[in-house]
Amino acid sequence: VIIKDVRNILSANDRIAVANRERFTRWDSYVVNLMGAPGAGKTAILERTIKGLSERYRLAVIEGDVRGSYDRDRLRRVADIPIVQINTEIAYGGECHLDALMIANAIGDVELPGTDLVFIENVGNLVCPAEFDVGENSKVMVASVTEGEDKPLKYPLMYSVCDVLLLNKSDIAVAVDFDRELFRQNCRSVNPGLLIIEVSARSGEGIPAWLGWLDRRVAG
Amino acid sequence: LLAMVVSEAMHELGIARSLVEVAVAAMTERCVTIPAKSLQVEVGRFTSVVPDSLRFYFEVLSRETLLEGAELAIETIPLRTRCQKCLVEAEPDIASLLCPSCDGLVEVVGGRELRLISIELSDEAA
Repeated sequence: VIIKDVRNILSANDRIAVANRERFTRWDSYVVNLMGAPGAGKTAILERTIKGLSERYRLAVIEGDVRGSYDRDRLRRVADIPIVQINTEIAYGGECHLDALMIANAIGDVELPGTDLVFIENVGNLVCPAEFDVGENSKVMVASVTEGEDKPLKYPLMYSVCDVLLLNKSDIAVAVDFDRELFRQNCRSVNPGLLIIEVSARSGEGIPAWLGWLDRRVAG
Repeated sequence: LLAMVVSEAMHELGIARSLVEVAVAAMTERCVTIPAKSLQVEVGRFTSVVPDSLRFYFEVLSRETLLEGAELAIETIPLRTRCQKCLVEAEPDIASLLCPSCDGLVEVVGGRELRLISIELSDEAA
C-alpha cells in the first residue's frame, strides 16, 4: 500500500513564519533577518545601526546564538531597547540557524506595537539560515572582505536568497588584496538583483547608505 | 544518544524533525496504524540539505513512531532555471544563475524542493 501525499517538509515552519509576519505587521514593524558568517561583523553593524537610529525609531532585536549572550550584552551598552536572546543550545538541540518557531517562542506573549524596526541576528553560518523563513520582510547578509571573493560561489543559496549584502571591513580591502570587481561579478552570477553596500563598522564609512536603505523601508 | 545528536547538530536535524512530523500527520489523518516501509522524498540540489545527514537524523527521530526502521528513498532534483528574457531552460552548474544562452536573469524553476512524495506501508497491511 502506498500513500501518495505530496507535502512540503518545511510547511510547518512556513506556516509559523506567516503567523510571525502577520504579528509583526500588526506591530507596524519592518523586520530584517541579518545573516552571515561568524566574524563577518553582524553585531558590529548592529551596534552602528542602533546608534544611528535609536533616537529616530523604536527598535527591537532578537539575538540568535548557539550559546551565550555576548552579543546581547554588547548591544545593551549601545542603547536601552528590547533585546531577546535565543540560545539554540538550550531548547533546540544546538541548531545552527533560527527557525520560525524559535522566533515565535522568543516573542511569546510580548506585544511591541509601534516598533518601527526589528532586527533578527541569525546564528553565524553561511549554510542553514538561508533555508528558513522566520517571518522577516528582508534578508540581509553581512560579508566581509577578509572572507575572500569566492564565497558567493561556495555558498550560492545564502547569497541568492538575500535582498541586500553589506560588504563589511571595506576599509581594509586593499590590505587583504580584496578584488571588488571579482566579488561583485561572483555575486551577480548567483543573485543578479542583489544590492551591495560597502561599509565599515569600524570607521563608519558606508553606514549612512545602509541607514538610508532602512529609512526607506520604514517609510514603506 | 541525544547528547550525540546535540553535539553533531546541523540543520538537517530540524528538517528531519519536520519530515517525521508531516509523515506521521499524513498517516494519522488516514487512521493508518501499520508501520511504514519506506518514504519517498525529493531533495533539490539547490537546498542546503545533505542526504546522508538527513537519513541519519531521520533514523534517530523516527524511533518509536510508525516510521521507525523505514527506508528514506531520496530523489535528488537538479537545479533548473528559466531565462526571463529568452525563456531558455537550463540545468546549470549550481554556482551560476545566469542564462547560459544570453547571460540574462533567470528564475529558479527546480532544485529548491524539500518534499515528501509518498509513504509505502509495510506488507502486514495486506
